[in-house]
Amino acid sequence: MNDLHPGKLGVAEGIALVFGIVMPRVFLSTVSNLIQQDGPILWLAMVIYTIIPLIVLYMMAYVHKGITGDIFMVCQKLIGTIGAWVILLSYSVMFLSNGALILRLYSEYTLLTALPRVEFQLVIVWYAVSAGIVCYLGIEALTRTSYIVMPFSIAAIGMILLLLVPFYITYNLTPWQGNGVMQAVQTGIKGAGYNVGVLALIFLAPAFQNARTIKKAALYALSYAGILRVSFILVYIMVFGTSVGAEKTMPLFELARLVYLNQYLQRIEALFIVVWVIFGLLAVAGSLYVGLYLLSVLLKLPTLRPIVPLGAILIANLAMMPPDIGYVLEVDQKLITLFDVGIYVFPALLFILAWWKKRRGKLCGSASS
Amino acid sequence: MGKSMISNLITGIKDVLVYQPPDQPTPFVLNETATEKAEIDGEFFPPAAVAEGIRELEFMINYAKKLDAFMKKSSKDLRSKEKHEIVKKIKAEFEMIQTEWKEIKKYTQKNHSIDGMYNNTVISADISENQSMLESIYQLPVNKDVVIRSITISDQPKIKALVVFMDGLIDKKIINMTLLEPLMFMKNIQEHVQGEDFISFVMEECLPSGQASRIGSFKEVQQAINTGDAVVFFDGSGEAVAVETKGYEHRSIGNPTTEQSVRGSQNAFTEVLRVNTALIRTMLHASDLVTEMIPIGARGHSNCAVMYIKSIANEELVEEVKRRVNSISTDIITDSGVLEHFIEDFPKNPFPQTLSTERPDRVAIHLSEGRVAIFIDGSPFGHILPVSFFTLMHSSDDFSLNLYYTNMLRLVRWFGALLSLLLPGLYLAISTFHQEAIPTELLLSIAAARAQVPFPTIVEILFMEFSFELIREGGLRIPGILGSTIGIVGALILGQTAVTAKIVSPIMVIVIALTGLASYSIPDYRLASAFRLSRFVFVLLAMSMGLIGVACGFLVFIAMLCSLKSFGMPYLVPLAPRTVNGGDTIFRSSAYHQKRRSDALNTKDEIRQKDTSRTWITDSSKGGNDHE
Repeated sequence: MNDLHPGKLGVAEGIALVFGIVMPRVFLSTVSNLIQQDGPILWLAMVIYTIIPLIVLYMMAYVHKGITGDIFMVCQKLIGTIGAWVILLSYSVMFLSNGALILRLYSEYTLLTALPRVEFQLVIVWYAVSAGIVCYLGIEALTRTSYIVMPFSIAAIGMILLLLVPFYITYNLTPWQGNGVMQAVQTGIKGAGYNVGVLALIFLAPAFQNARTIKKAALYALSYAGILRVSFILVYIMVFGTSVGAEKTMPLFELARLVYLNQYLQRIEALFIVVWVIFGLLAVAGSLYVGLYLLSVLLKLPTLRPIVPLGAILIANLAMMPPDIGYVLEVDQKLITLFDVGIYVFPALLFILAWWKKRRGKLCGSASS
Repeated sequence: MGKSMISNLITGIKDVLVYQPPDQPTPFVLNETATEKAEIDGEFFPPAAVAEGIRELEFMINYAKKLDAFMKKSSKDLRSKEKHEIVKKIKAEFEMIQTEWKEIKKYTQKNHSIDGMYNNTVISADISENQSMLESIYQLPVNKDVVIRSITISDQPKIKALVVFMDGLIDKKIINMTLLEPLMFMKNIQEHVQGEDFISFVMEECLPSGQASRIGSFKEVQQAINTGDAVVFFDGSGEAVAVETKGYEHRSIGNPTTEQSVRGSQNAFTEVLRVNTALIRTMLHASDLVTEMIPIGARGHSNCAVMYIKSIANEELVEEVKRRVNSISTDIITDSGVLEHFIEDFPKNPFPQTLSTERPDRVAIHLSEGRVAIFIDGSPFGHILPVSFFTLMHSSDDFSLNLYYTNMLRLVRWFGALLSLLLPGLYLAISTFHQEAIPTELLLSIAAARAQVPFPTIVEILFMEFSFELIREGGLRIPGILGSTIGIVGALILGQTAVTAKIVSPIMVIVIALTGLASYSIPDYRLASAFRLSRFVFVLLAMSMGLIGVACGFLVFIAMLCSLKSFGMPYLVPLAPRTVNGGDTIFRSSAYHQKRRSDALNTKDEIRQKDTSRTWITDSSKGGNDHE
């Protein structure tokens, strides 16, 4: 046990880690773009892109099964040192860029919704420092914080979805095929990369109790995230319809704005900012931690604490690079290709190599006997 | 030659015109000494002791060299020359060396008294040597606290003895009745006057004291005398006897002042360690309740009691606690708060990592849970460890009151803690950055109240918070019953006049008063202080970034709590990490439902009570039938 693998994390911590990394995008413009593509059948795409990462995780668990050591050792044994470097460096870039992108998007939405007169660089620095501190406190603190605050955050979102019952127009869900079932399936397959965060469980495997814990955590985390996403999308479409919904840049904020109970309970979206800030920060901190962890493994560092400030500065600078929100959304669309490589290409490659090695081992074993 | 009239005149005029300082003795100025590094391998040594120790070693080495040279020379001379002359010469030289040795001994005794440490010095068979050592240790006859009573015991043969004790720490009756009288009336012990047998004879047949122990070093002698025991030295014996004669004045057992209870026990600890451990024994009659004493402090020599139930407490935990206490290297510790700083995992974190209590009943309950308690001589507070954040939110009354009422009170406490932490920050954030979140009527009311206040909200908050802290601190320092009265009057007058003078708005007074009141709902004083401190951080965060700042701060706050550990146990257990709780976390279950001890403590015996802890429910009663 060293500083990188401080203790034995359990299922709850695993769920919180994955949920924290994969969930926040649902509150961002990604949903609006997807609605424009798929129409009311978007829920099917969401179901697909929840199932695919789960299969990928089970494949990676199979890869990890027969080989002891951290993810670098696993990759090294299967594909060689250079291959391992390429794969882990790519994943590190994926997580860090995901963190930077979420950081920028949340900062932009903070300016739009809560602090219109603040400089966006200041917001980015603020979030980066906060995420850096959480990250610095370690994986235990990060995951446990996540699972303490997540139930309250989910309950708050659930409450909003329920309070909007008077605005539900079920006809908005028709035609149920939307822009076509195949289109939804395509979106689901293409968008699975957004769930690359589930692989954090494999990368941080030595910190977890055992393989069963990892599988269970992935199953629960993706299921909860899937249920919440599907519910959210259904409510969003029922409330706004596909055409109006596709134009909204901040889906959750727009939904919260509609809530009006009485003159004493109105405009709860301002208070709701707390919830989505927490979601965003946990996602940034989680992505930052996994990205830096992979770098630490590659560089064989005994601890990642000294590079946390560097990592925070790195993602803050990355987040400041795009000149405007339009460009950020464009980058977000392009980044999915990189994430897809992470969810399809590398796991498939490692799985085939592991399967082939195990098969060859068996054949050799049976031939010698 | 006398001075001329002109020069006298000039001197006279000069004396009148020029200021002359009054003729006074030179005032005392305490000279500053250059600070020297006094740490060697992490251990504490007074600098003077280190320097003198080195000099002493040099003396010893020189002496050893001389002795060696003398031996070699004597052996050579004895072989070669005329015996008679040589023996005379050797005798003279030997006497010189002996004199030198006595000088060195005197010098080392003098040096040892610089730091008060005689850890390696053993008791001599020569009683006069022991007396001179004691005089050197206790700076006699300048020091009037230590009494050395010289007596002669027995007739056949006559044996000189010394009775040494600290005046004021002993009970004179005990000294007279159980020590001096039996010793002085002792007769004819000829057959026992030989080494250890004599000490055994005295202990077994002459000293009618409850506790008497044989000691062999001056370290033990000092420990005994400094804690109120008397030590008896006998001529011809290399050992002494320490006899229990404690009888110093102390405060009697009173009511708890910081942990008052409506229905619970009304006893509180005192400053005497042995009284405190006995109080726990009166509550917990377990035979395997162990009390280990560990001396702390190179000068203070305070005793630290480590208490645990052998059959329940985790051995690794007990060992770790003892290891930390044993490894303290300082000169003096007289307060449990200071002791805590020396042994806790995160001393720089304001959140308490032990439960500090003045209630024996609380200690007894936690010991039976598998925790460890530590006490230090001179402090009326004990520490229970390890503890979680949730334990600190429990009060001593929780199990004395009805289940539902207790749970309601606990809910109020948690709500109070949240208010204490966040209310000023949230008010500042919402009223400054997110006015849209406030219902229109309330917003108008706040705006109207603030219309004539010339300061921004942050200044109002800081002013009021500062005033509140001032009243709290002042109230504590003002002696007697005046403190609380002045506190109330001060708060009322200050609040009222501040509103009238339009320095603060009425709503701000409500916010700060509510926050202050809420902070008192937190049962642990140190936890309440940590919340108070964190509140200021939240106010600053709210001032900087509104609700975004509060949200970020709250997340970091929880992450910080998650990363804390109390003696290796996570601070937020059983919530994070999730473990089996004993039915007493945020809410409590019925006492008869709490079947298991807390999983996080990893106790030797996890089961607190059987599944059917109320067997009378299943047993048939002997009473009549209700329907008859």
